Amino acid sequence: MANEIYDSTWWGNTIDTASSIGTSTEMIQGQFNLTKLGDELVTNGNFAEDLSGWTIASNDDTHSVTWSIDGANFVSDTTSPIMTFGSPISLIADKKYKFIIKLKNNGGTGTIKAQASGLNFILDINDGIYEEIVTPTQNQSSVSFYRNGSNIDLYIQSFSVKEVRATTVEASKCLADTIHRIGLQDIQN
Amino acid sequence: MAKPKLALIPAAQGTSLYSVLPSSGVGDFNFTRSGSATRINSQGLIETVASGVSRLNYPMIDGVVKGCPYHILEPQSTNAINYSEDFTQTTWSKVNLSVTSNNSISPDGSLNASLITSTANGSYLSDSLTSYDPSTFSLFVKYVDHQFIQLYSGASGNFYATFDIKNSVVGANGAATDNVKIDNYGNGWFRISCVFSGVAAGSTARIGFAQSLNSTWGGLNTSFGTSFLSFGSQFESNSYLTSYIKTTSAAVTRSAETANGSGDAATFNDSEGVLMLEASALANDGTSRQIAISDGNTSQRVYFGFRSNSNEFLLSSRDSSYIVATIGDVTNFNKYAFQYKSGNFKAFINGFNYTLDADGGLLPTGLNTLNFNNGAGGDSFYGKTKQLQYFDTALTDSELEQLTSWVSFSDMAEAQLYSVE
Repeated sequence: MANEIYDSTWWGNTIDTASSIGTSTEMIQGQFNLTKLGDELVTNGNFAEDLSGWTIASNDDTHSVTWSIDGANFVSDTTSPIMTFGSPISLIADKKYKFIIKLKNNGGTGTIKAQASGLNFILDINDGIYEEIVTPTQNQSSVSFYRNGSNIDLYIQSFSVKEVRATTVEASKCLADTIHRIGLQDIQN
Repeated sequence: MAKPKLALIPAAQGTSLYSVLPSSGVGDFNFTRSGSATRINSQGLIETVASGVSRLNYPMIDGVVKGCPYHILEPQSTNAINYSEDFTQTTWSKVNLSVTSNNSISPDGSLNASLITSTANGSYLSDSLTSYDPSTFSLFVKYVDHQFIQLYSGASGNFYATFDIKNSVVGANGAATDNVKIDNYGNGWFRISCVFSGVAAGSTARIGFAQSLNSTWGGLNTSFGTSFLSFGSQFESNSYLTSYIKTTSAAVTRSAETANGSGDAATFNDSEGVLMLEASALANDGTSRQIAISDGNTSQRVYFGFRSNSNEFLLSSRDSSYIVATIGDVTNFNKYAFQYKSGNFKAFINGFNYTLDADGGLLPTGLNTLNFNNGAGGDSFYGKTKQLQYFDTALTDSELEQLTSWVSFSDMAEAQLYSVE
């Protein structure tokens, strides 16, 4: 029985589930984490208490970002100046990243863009959750938001970037078998 | 058994080599290769892998996929032959033979193999190309009713190798030709290859209908009307055979592959630990190919790797406690483990405890990255990796023995490329 040979101290509780349902492809892909997203790359992405860690540039009286309990209030009434609101994030060229941005409209009609060298996309909503899989063409040290048009007044409630790891686990049985063999070594000890 | 802090078990392709542990992904290796490459997939077929995507390659024994895949990392190589699969092109001179395209299923699973038929005595294909020194000439072939094939250079009689593609036997070869091989790709297909040393620039690569297994340079057919199937020719700038590089109207270069940047300072312990590897070298090619945990420099590192001397493997902590072990054949899969801890440096290979050549006892400091190179960007590791593990504590001798032992007879046999009936 697989339950008897896997050592849960190695792999945490997930392996207990794995051993109870066998070594199906679906199980292995989920259990052994190769397809899971990486760690959160954004610091203070939920703006819990302030805008610390973020940089505001080219702002003025009607182009501003201020903190509130609803998040970072991004206001840009015209297209000039081009205010940016940026976070230091290390991205590696050609890797895939999942961007998740939660927005709440505050009466504006415009939307914002996310930009860095080698990546640039328009959030086509100004209220709700926006998700995008991004593959930078160059290494990046930061990502900034800026206006896409005029009359923008919204809250960026949260911003998350995580690396997308393997999309499929092709050799799932081999992966399970190898872990199984390692588990056998544990039992023999 | 202690829990490894980091474990790489080849199971997925992508922009990284994905480590199972740690589950956060911090143990993933950043992978690079500009341009596509090919691999042997789980069906035993040649498959193109996109630029920047790592490769899982499946081992074939006697023409059948056997066992689990490994990550393959190869050096740069250029296939100088134009139209590597299309022998009807004018870049191929067709002397006393005919070519029928798309005649049969090739090793990539497509109907794109060419039937080559002799139409008079002295039949050969010839391609003028840039020569490399050394160079490796290879071709996929399948027997129809012509048994003997010769790969040769128009440069001189020093450069040739003759093959029996019906019985998978290597025959005569020239004085400057070595590493003559015939590899079984299944369904009657073989990849025949040889290495030329010192071939002159501006010469031709030729594929001939040999008379017999003992045919020397240019010893071609004295009767005609026979055929063989052909696919995937390669004349590459490398001293050993590498994966197939498809070309059309120009030479194609597959860039060198790298896999680096696994782990961080929290992953590695400067005071004690074990690095374990199951891998094989692509060849004894006279170069140093290393895997290292380091601080980004070669002065602070724990590392091991294939040496420039044939079949030697080095395991070392800061070049202070180390061993240079002679292995039976580094191109077979072997299991290596090196432990560093004050007063307790150990080297185990295939279950055996090796006495260190020196035990100066220097421990590294500032370890923060695991790379398929010497720790500072040089001596890149090219080879086939089945598993890589790092433990942040020392292990007992029993654990080290177990970690590096074959778990079954079939496991050991497959590692040595034997087929168990």
